[in-house]
Amino acid sequence: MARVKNRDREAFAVLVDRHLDGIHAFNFRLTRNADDAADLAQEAFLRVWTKAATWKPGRVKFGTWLHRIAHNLCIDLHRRKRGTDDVDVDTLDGAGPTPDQAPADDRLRNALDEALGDLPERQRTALLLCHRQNMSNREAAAVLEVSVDALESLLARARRTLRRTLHEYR
Amino acid sequence: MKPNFDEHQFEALLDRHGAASADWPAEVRSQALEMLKSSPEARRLHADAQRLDDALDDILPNVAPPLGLRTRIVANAPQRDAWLDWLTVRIWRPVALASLPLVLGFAFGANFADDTTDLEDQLLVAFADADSLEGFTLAEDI
Repeated sequence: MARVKNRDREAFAVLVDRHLDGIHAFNFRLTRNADDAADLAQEAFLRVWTKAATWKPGRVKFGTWLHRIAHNLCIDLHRRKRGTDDVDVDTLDGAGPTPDQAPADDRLRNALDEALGDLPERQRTALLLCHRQNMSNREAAAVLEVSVDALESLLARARRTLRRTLHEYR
Repeated sequence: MKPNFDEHQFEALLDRHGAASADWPAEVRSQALEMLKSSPEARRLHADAQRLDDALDDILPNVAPPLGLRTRIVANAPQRDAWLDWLTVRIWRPVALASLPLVLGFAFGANFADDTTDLEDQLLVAFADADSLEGFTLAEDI
């Protein structure tokens, strides 16, 4: 990062190589849209490039900082889309095939997918960060800028809701 | 074992940390594993949590970024304008450095000006001997 701060493009390329897969997957899971995920990944790295000087080593890990940037961009995008009629319904939370349209084997998967999409945004993000981005609760709390206790409360509520869905499909 | 660590707390642990024991806090891990061995209810709760974790893995697949995205990101990172660098390095920094003594001098001067006045007043009173005050009379004496 020290080199990126000095506008070293090669160092920036290494940073992109190292973190692109993870941040793109995070964006995709939050937005459920491949194009949005790619655009947001590009925007997030652009922010890293232009705001590198504001990152303070020791205060927050780079990966945490990058996820915080990506998360904020996802929220901005979601708000923009909510404020317009130009919304692709297939990308909206919980807008997958209905249980009646899906094969019986996929019903649970669809129901859970829908339940995940229906979770409040912060609960869903907390779960994504800890479950799929392999972050510790402490790191995920830093991304969401909440205390570890608050983060664990979000996780607990999310898991309880999803477990109820699982029970319905037992 | 920690008092009050029961199935209810075990469930709370699973809600907060998931089914993988490696993710459980070290201070309760051994108690939780012990409970898992001894309590059928704990095993049922753990199986539920594991089922949820597996289902999440299933519905949250790893998605690779599109080809060319990496190149696009690196190529689109804007190069800072050379004139901005020149302005920063050649003009702004020397000007800021040169004006630093002025700013500091002003700040110290403004602070010490008041203190000095007070100090001078105190010294005048403290070291004034009786002779030097002989010429002065209080209004009440007149």
